Amino acid sequence: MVLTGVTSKAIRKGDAEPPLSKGSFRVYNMRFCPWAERAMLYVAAKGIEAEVVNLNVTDKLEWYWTKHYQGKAPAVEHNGKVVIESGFIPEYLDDAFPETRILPTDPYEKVQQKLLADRLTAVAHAVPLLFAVMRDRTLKDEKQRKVFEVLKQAENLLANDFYAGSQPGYPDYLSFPFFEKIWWSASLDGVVDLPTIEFPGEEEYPKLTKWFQKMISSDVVQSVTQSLEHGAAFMNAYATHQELNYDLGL
Amino acid sequence: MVLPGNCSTSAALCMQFLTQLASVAIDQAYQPPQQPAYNPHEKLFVSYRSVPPPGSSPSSAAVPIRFSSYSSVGSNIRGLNSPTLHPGSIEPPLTPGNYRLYSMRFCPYAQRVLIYLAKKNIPVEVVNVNPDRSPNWYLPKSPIGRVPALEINGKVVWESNVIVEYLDELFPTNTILPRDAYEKAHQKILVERLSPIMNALFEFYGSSNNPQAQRQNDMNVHSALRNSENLLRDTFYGGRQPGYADYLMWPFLERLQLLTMSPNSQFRYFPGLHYPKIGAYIARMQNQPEVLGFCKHDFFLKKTGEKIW
Repeated sequence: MVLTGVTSKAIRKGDAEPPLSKGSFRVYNMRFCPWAERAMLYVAAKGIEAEVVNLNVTDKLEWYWTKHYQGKAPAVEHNGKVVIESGFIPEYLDDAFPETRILPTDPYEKVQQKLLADRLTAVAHAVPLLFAVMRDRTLKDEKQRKVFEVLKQAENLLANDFYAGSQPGYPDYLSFPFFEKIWWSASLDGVVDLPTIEFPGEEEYPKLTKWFQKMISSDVVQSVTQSLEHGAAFMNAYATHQELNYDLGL
Repeated sequence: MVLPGNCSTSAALCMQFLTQLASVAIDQAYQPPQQPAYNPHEKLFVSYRSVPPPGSSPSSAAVPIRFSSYSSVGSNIRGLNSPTLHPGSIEPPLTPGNYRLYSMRFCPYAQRVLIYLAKKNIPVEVVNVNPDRSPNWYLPKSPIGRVPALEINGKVVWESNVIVEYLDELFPTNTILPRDAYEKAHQKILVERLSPIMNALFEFYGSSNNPQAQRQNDMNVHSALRNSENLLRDTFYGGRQPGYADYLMWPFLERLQLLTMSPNSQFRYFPGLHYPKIGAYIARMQNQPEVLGFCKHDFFLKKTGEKIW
């Protein structure tokens, strides 16, 4: 595995900044954050040897503000330079490490994948709807109808085995974390009527179900993701404004 | 001129900037408008053939005399003020090998692309469409009929930030985004960090007129301006020359100036004495040839004021 520290304890306020040697690569991560997972997936997919530092983003570190102006994850640091925003980090990584480029070099093909990823952000916007249901179960029917619409759109956008073609690529890695969050939600009682086995459901979403199984079982995803049990528990605590355990399961 | 690094600029210097800003606005306001090239009596289908070829001045440009050496900037763009196409219209034919930008005249996102096209001097035909009720032939080109969209040889690209980056890749000799991976990412991050300007603009236009909402809007604008002032560390956000972040944020900053026209805002001057760097920056941006050609300021002062205030 090229990523170290994936299961390290989250550092918090008062902890000193770990030294980063010249030439080394670091990812600042929050284990259950879908936006940070985008960066983690891309780093893993590119095979970049990186040290992962998990953050407690509630009890924020003082020194981290100089790296991210909002104190959030993700951020990638390399030779004294920090890049933030999960939407910008993947392309930065492809530009900085072109030998393992994931996005196509052809301008039009590249744009098509970026636009596809943009259209799939509808999945990201569907996740907070399920947070609302975790807070108030009476909203379930109303909210899950919208989630089903989003999944149907995602199914229609899937023209091949993967959104990027015959192999996973930019739109797959950037959208997978949010499908995963819906999957985590499905394991909680009374939140959304979707199966956790063969998610999101062979009958309604045949292509998407195959896609999700391939993605969740891939080495790239397995090297960075969290278990269904812990992910669901963390999400529920987050949605219902309970105290968050960033080291859940460690 | 490089501004001092601190925030202790003297009031006299502020007034100098504001005077310069005011003189620029006055200068533009007194430019006589040119007659549009479009003849309303010509049939729609034929009108595109009568559009002047590349090399002539854009029909809407009112370029100040002192910038006559830049009169060619924007000459690569045809049809800027072509009539808007609505449902029932016929799709204009697009010759293979030619670029077309689907736009809406007052759309800030489309203006981003227009400024980029003018700066890069890429020949393009503009077709204005109604994004609220799109022509049927337009919907297959752009999801839910959004503008801007760029078309060539049957291929269509949308999303303003994606389009401009696409243009830099297609025409790399005069790229605007930095080539260095980190500097390039930094320009994009800057746009993200400047986005409170956009949010403040949308919230202002979208909110009710009650006093509490008005105070909140003014506070949002002040917060956005403080943020923008802090992030401006050179002549432009792009460095010594305007760059990606400048072009992508300018349409929103330009529109935000209209606050001074509103009885619902405490802003009487924009941006005001508290933001000297931004005041000077606005004056500089307004003087950029690629920006001047698409300045909406005076038009908005007139039209938006009539309709909204």
